[in-house]
Amino acid sequence: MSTLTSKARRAFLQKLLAGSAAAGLYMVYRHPVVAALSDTKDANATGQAAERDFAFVVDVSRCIGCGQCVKACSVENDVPDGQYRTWIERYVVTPDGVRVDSPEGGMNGFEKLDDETAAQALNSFFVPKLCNHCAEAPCIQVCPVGATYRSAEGFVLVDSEHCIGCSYCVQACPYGVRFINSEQRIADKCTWCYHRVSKGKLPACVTVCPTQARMFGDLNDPNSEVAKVRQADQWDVLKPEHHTESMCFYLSLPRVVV
Amino acid sequence: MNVSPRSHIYRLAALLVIAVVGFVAFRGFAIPSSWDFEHFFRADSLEELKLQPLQIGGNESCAGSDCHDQKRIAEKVAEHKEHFQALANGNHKGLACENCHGPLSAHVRDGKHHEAANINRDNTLCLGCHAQLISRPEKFPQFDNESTGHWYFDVEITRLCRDCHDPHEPRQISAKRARVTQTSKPAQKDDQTGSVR
Repeated sequence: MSTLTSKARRAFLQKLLAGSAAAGLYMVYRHPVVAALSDTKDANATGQAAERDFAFVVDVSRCIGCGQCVKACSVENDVPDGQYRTWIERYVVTPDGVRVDSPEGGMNGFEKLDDETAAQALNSFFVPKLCNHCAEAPCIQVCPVGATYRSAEGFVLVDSEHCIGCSYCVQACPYGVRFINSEQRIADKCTWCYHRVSKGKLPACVTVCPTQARMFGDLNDPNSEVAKVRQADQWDVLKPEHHTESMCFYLSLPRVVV
Repeated sequence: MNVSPRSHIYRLAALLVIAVVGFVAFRGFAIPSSWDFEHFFRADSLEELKLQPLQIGGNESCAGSDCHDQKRIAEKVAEHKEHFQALANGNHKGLACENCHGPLSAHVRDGKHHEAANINRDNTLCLGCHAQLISRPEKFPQFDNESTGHWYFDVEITRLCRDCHDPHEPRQISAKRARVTQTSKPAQKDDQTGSVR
């Protein structure tokens, strides 16, 4: 080993060490614990106080299957064709079994049933579906990068900047409400129109529903429709056996619905 | 040169320090500045999501606005007021303007008139909700030929609903309109091919 290379190497290592120490000091300065100690105000701002606790109510007995909600959702959220953040299912219960269909998510309404099915139908109804914004959401648990989370107000949201499109959440959701947006290539789902609610408006689907089959509101406001529904204690949730603590309450939900 | 017998240890320790500091530095830069360690998400994303523009305005946008209060469209103002009155008090109370007339964002952009709101006069919109389907709630009014009025005027599904019904208040049946159209029914029957679902 020549003296020259040895000196150069030593100088390089010294510089590297000095640089690392500087970067390390900077990281210590930036560390959240240090930041919290030096600025208590900031820490309070991130500590989330839940003032509002939103919930959604779907009254199956009111839904007429017109598809206005699906249409409005697609327009409001620029959902790609063939993908749906909310959709309507038509259940037809016959002695031979249950038939469920949802042509184009029910966006353009439903065709008349064929005579044979209609004749043997024992019961038939429409069920609107959307993200349940679960309090114990499986999609949040499986996200490897923390790109999906539940806000203090009860919205389960996707951070589109952070999502890597691995679609674990799509598989984890027991309700099938998540999909990979075919244009953005990241996870997409109903947000309860977070951008609208934050401006004091109702979600788009609730705004256009002509029969008030969809209701949305704050559980902490005793005068809200959803608080009354929860108080009345006659609601159901989809797939309660998954213990997801769904915040989407269904009224008049037949037991056959999955 | 007098080399310390422990120099290899020092060198190893220095490399370890560099590796640890390098990792911590990389981790620090990889974590977004607004990261919420308690709830494990990027707090800034909440603000970003709020920026999404609205497309559906809701009836309050149409009713509460002064868009139609300009003199040159005074007629429109009166017309809108009438429609709101009918909607607010009538059988179509739950309806949003945008259900039939399309999203507000298509009608108004940047606070200015963009394009005329949809006006669809055929039966498509009516039958989207009122075509008879066994899946609809029983009490929900669905078209049939047997209800008194329809039977009396011999109304087929191909007839234009708006011949007799005001879409903003469908219970308001214009008998005059009905009579007129009844006399002209044969011609109408041939022309109209209402979409039946």
